[in-house]
Amino acid sequence: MKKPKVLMLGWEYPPLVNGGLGIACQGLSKALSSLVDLSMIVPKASTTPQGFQLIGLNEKKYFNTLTQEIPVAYTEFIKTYPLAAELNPYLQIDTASPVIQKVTHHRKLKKTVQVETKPFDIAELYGNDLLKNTTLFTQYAAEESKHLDFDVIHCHDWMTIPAGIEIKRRTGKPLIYHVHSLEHDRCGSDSTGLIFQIEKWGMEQADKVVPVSNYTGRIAFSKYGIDPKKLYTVHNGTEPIKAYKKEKPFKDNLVVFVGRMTEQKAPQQFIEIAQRVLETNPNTRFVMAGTGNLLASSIESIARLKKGNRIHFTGHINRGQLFDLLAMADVYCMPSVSEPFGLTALEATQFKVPCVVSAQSGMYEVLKGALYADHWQTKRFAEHIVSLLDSKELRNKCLRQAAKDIQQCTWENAAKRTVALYEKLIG
Amino acid sequence: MSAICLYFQVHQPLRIKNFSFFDIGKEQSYFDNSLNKEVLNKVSDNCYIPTNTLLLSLIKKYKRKFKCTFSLSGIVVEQLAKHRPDVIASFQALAETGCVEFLGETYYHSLSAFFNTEEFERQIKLHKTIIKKYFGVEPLYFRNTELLFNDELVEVLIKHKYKGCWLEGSENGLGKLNVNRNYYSIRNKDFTLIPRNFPLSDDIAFRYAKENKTLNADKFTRKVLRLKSEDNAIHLGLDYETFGEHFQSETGILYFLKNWIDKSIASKQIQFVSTSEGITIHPALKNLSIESTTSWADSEKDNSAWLGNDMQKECMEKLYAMREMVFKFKNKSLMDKWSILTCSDHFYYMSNKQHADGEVHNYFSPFDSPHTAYIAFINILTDLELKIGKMKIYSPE
Repeated sequence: MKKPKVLMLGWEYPPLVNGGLGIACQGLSKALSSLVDLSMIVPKASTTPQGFQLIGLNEKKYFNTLTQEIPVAYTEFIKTYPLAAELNPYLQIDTASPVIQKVTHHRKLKKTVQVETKPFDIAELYGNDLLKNTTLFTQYAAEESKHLDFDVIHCHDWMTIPAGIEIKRRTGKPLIYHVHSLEHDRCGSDSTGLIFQIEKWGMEQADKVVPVSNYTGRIAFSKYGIDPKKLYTVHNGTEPIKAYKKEKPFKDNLVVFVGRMTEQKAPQQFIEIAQRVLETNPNTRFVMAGTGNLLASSIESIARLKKGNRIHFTGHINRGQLFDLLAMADVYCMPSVSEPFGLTALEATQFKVPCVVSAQSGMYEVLKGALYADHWQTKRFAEHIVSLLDSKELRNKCLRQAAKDIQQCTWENAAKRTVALYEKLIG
Repeated sequence: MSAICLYFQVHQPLRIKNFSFFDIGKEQSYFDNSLNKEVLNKVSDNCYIPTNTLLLSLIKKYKRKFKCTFSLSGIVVEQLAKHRPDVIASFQALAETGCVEFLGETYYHSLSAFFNTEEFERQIKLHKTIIKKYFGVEPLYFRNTELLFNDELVEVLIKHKYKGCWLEGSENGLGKLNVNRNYYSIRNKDFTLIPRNFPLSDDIAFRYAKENKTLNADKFTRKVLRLKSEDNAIHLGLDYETFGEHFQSETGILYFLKNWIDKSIASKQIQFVSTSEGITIHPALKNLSIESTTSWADSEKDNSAWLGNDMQKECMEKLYAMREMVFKFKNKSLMDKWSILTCSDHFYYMSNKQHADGEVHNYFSPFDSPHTAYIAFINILTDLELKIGKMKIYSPE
């Protein structure tokens, strides 16, 4: 069979933005590149990957046809005959002397002009202009797709789905909506806002919806009303990392939290967990890596507890620092309220760090060698952490199982499953 | 005749680095040496050198009719001696005129008075030594860090032969008492309390340049002369950096200083006195009691600029809790590091006050937020704690 030709629409691609979405898109596209003919459009790109075409809209120039209103003014001279105020029925015109008046008229002329634009020649992809950027992406990605030959459209997350829908409308090609995270994960179960609506519309318009876990698939079904027959889970993989161990600057055990400091990642729960662990295991330290709107209040609550020398904050960290941190860690803890997948747990596993993870996560399906608790059960989390710190036997048992689990979590496996879907859709 | 007692505060902290978790245990320096040197040079060139030159010329012009008072923190003298001997020389030239009085304070510009008396006394002694060394005088009067004061300090200060202390003339301390007088402490009749007239001081320090208008020397002189009662002892206390640094020389602040002093002396109703002289002319007649701590900072005029939130409190408590361990090993480098951390400025940067006070905190802070300042400081404490832990292991008990 001929290689399927795939048009992929992504939002971020390393090294420009190093969020989980970017990492996942990179992993999947690299693995797919040998199996399909792949073109990928992203707002911003700075690399030329091997094996497929990566198109960054930031590198493109477009000409927009705009109608501009150009103000013009012209002046004319008018001859007028002023009349006396009281109208005389027996007016004699020759008695009135003419007056020359200068009158200026202002008009607006419409003119069509060509304006050169460089969309995404910007610093911030997210931020306040996210909706505007999404609209721009829709416009220019659709424009760009005219020059490409493809059998199937594959979108990643809601920022690219309007573009996907537009391209499907123009070409009639089947559309896949790959769901890495939903507004329901990020903003809680009461989400009904604009982004929720875009996601719902996107999943309805798509021919197939690909959640990164069955957990996310269940949310698509229960919260967005998507037909379960439309859902096709593809678990993420993890890039093999050259894991290493790094000596800690202290003897104490180290428990690590990594993620945006937002409600979704539950930093406040982590602080509660840390406090409970410290009650029984005072020789433990904690690191909270990441930044977000809850960072300031998290720092303040640590200070209130007077635990600043036990619970450390790093702010935003890069990949190198993340690896250094995992190389020192004794336990990785992810208490997220809702975690579609949880890639960092797999990365921790590669560093032979046992994980304690929220049961409301995709990890629950793939990483058997981890300990789980419902995200609100801070006591259970603390007990799990203490058990892993205290019992070498349990640690090793978890690590042995986890080592087996990650062998299944490869991007090659994810790519194979994705290609099977392409073939089914193309027919 | 009214007497103006003009006192300038000279201080530059040794700012800490943005010390991250990944720096812990790596033998990193705690202090941002290049930034500290840069600020010191900038302030020396913009303020210390030109303003010292101006004051010296005024002292020469008016013979003994113009006097003023300086308080230099130990760490600013230490920094200047290391990097700017020319500035030390210009302060020495002022000292040699005999018209400049020096105050005593804590060497590290710290809040040690409220956390550890032993440390407070150590820093008083260190400060006395460095002032004597560079300026040949032994201070008679004291000003505690940022004019933080309460009655409890009196006993310790008397023990160190101080005859009086500056404090903020704010309502939370003075109540309805006249700020333009000297008082004696309720704890000891021989200990004079010198309240700073903050509205007049702030006219210069905060409001010199406002909305494209600058303070007029004539107007300000008239304002002083219009004060209700006569025979006033007006105590003005200002950050020395007001002249040329907080207000750049383009604003004409140095001309203002000169004009104002000229006009005041020309009025023949005002004389400029040193702290000691002011107390001789206007001895204290009434007692004053300051039960809860007052200071010259923020609108609260209390200790909340340094101890107003949990981040500040935690760092302060943890720092002083470590003192005993730090001093046990008599390791000079470790003691020095710890001592520099007692500097009040580190805590000032952690304040998350809003509005006008918050703006002042932000103006001085090298950090982008109070939280970053806290993280850097607490990481340094963690590093120091680990250093001590290691020494414990290697040193025979």
